[in-house]
Amino acid sequence: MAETSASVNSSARLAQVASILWLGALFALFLTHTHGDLLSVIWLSEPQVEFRLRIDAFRQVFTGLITAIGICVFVFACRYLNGHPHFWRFFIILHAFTLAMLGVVLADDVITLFIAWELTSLTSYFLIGFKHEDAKSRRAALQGLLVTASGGLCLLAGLIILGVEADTFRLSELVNADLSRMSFGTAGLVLVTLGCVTKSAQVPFHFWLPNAMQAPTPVSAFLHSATMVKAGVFLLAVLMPLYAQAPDFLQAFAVIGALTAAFAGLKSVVQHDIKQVFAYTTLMALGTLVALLGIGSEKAIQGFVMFLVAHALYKAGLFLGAGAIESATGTRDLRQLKGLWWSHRTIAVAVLLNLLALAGLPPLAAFIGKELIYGALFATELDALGWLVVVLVFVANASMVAVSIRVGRMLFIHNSQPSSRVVPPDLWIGSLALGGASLVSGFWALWQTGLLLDAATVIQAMAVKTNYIHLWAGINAALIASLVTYAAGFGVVRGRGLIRDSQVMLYRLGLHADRAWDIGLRAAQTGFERLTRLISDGRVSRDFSTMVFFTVLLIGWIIAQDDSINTIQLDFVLDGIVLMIGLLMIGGILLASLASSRIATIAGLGVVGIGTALLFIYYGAPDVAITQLLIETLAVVLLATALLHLPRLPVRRPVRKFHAVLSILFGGILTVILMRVSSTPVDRTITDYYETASWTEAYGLNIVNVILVDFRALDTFGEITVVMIAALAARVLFLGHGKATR
Amino acid sequence: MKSLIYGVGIRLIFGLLLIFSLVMLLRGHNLPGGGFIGGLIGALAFIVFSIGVGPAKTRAALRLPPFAIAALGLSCALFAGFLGWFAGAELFTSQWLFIGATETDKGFPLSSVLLFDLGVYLTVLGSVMGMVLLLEEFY
Repeated sequence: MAETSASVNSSARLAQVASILWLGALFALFLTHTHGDLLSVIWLSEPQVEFRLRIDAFRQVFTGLITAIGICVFVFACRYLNGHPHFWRFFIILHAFTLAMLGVVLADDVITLFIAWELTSLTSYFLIGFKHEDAKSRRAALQGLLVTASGGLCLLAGLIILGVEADTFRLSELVNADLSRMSFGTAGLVLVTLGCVTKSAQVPFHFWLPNAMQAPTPVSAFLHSATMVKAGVFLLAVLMPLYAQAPDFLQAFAVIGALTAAFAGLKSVVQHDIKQVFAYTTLMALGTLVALLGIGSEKAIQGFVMFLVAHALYKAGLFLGAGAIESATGTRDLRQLKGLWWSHRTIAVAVLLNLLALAGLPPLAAFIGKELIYGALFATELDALGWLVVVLVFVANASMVAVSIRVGRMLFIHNSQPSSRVVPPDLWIGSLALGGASLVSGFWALWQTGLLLDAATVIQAMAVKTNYIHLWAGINAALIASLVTYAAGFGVVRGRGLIRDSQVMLYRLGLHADRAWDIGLRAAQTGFERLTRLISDGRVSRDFSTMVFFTVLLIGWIIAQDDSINTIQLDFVLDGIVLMIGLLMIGGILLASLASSRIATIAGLGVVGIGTALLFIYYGAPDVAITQLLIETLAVVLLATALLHLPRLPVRRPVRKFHAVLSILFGGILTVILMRVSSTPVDRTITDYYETASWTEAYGLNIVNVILVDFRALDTFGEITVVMIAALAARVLFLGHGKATR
Repeated sequence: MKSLIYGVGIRLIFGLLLIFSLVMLLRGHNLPGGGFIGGLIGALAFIVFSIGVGPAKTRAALRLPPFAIAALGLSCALFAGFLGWFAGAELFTSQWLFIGATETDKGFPLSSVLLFDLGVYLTVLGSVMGMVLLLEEFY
């Protein structure tokens, strides 16, 4: 981290102002565009793939959060990394990440959505691994990328299945598709769900998220609040109309989400690193959101929207606060944070405001969200599974209260050696602003109920019947549950030792996802290494025979299936000249395969090539013949140059029976294919067109050349590009060897 | 290769081969030949030359680094493709200019496909020479 007390340099200031203006402009744009298409560019017509952006109330809430929190994060980040040698790299990647996240939220085309989705994975990889000289950062970044990107591949497969089955790649039409009419709809939905739960770090894919704390603090603040992990939750919410047709999915969401929430809650109360504490509370929030979707009632959806907004605000505020605390005290250890209330009042206030929201105290939006969670749970007929979810959610919420108490108490403990470092306002203003926003969020929710209900309408794809967003809903079961939760929070703080001991025990038993990840990754690496060595041991002849072997196997199998092989008719007359050329070529082949010196082998191959050229001339294709001759000459020159430096062949070469059989089979198969091709009557439409148009339209008599440079110029352009790429690749190989200089 | 006869003779053959390669390039539209064949012959000329005088002098004779020649060729071909686009047609549509055309005589033809074929020629020449020279210098 850069020295924060130094004066801010001009490029950081410039970046700060630019970010505020740019994100502010986006915020204003999303504020004014309530619904409809923002942009549509067609990429492919069949199937229709578009770059299509669309906004509605739910997306408006989301983009508003991204841009507003983005401003706070960028203000903080520019100061936090002030003077860092890779400042601009960071700045650009973080902006790319922001745009990618906006793309995920706004995309109305599933392919666009997928690309933006993968871009968030990729950019977050760079962001988490920003401190790349640190092995822990690199590991965390790779882990995050592998988990989320493999989830992304599942997502792509799932989206394509759903898109093909529903016959549309437009997200707004896809969500209203009829799942029962699809033959693979469930499979598609499972794959999409896998993509979402890996991105949103649900159990058992939760382990990458706490490790992602290795990222610089502003990245954590952004990743954990409105972006990245929320992308999974976002997509689940958008696809709710589909999930609603498959109740099993919803039940699974409720259980998985509640499990994640309770697990993370219990983890968060025993951590000491303040960023780790908040990381687990993020997991808890994600679990709760997924569980809310799983309940799926109207009340739950409204709770989802409410909690989404509340969590994004306070979580970004907490992380930015953690960053401010770090620069004030030089530590992130919870036990060292004493006395901030007296030494750094503004930071303490900012953190406290956000902690109120974390605990879910009235009259904050988080309180409304929590009331709705309990309310939605109690409103359903609770079976055994339902009670399990209730208990898990209760544990999670009590843990959040405990975390708030634990962190909050630290601020007031007297410190005999208070830190006297001055923290510049850039570093606490964001946290304070977000804390303030959390404080008024409850009243804001009452004021803007319309927007929130519209967002809920989008998710459940039907009009909202009852408005459940109230600060005071009377004395009911939910309120009593909330009060019990606050009390239980104190209990959790007291019983922390017990929780820690049980977690240590689980770790000793080997039940630890992060360790399992290491073992699995190592096993995969060695496994793939062995597999690769099995197929290719580095010798060209071995690689080549592997390729030919499988070609023979595959094509041979296809030919064996084909009955029309007996009907091949050949009107082929073997005249003297062809016979002579053929004999010449056979002689060349024998020379090449039996000779005991490399020069003789090359000469033998040259004979075969020249024989081929002669055949071309005989059948009237001079262009092809000339090219063949030249290539033959060139090949001999190249081989001869390289050959001078290869070791001599052994005098008695071993007889390579396997290679001989393989070669003969391969040659036989090629012959059969050629005979098949030439016995099929040729459609002369294109040939006739070329013959007539060559002179009249392209002013050329040499049809081959006219095709190359005019009719099929794009193909030729591709081919010469390949020629150049091949030459460049050869150059890299030479230079990689370290001897050549140019 | 230190051979006086080869070293002297090659200068003559080198020039003839180069001219031949250009002829093949230019006549390609109506007779067997074209950019690919021309480029290969050109490359062979330089290879024969380099066997006689060594890779360093061959590089000097090429004037430009071989990969720069290849890149130039690729740019030529792409530019020729864009000429059609500039003229309002599809990408890579050929464009013809008949200089001094009268009712009876079609005049001197100049076309984007010639530029395209020149691009092919240069790409092939540059790529092949890049590889061969590296191979010769490698040891």
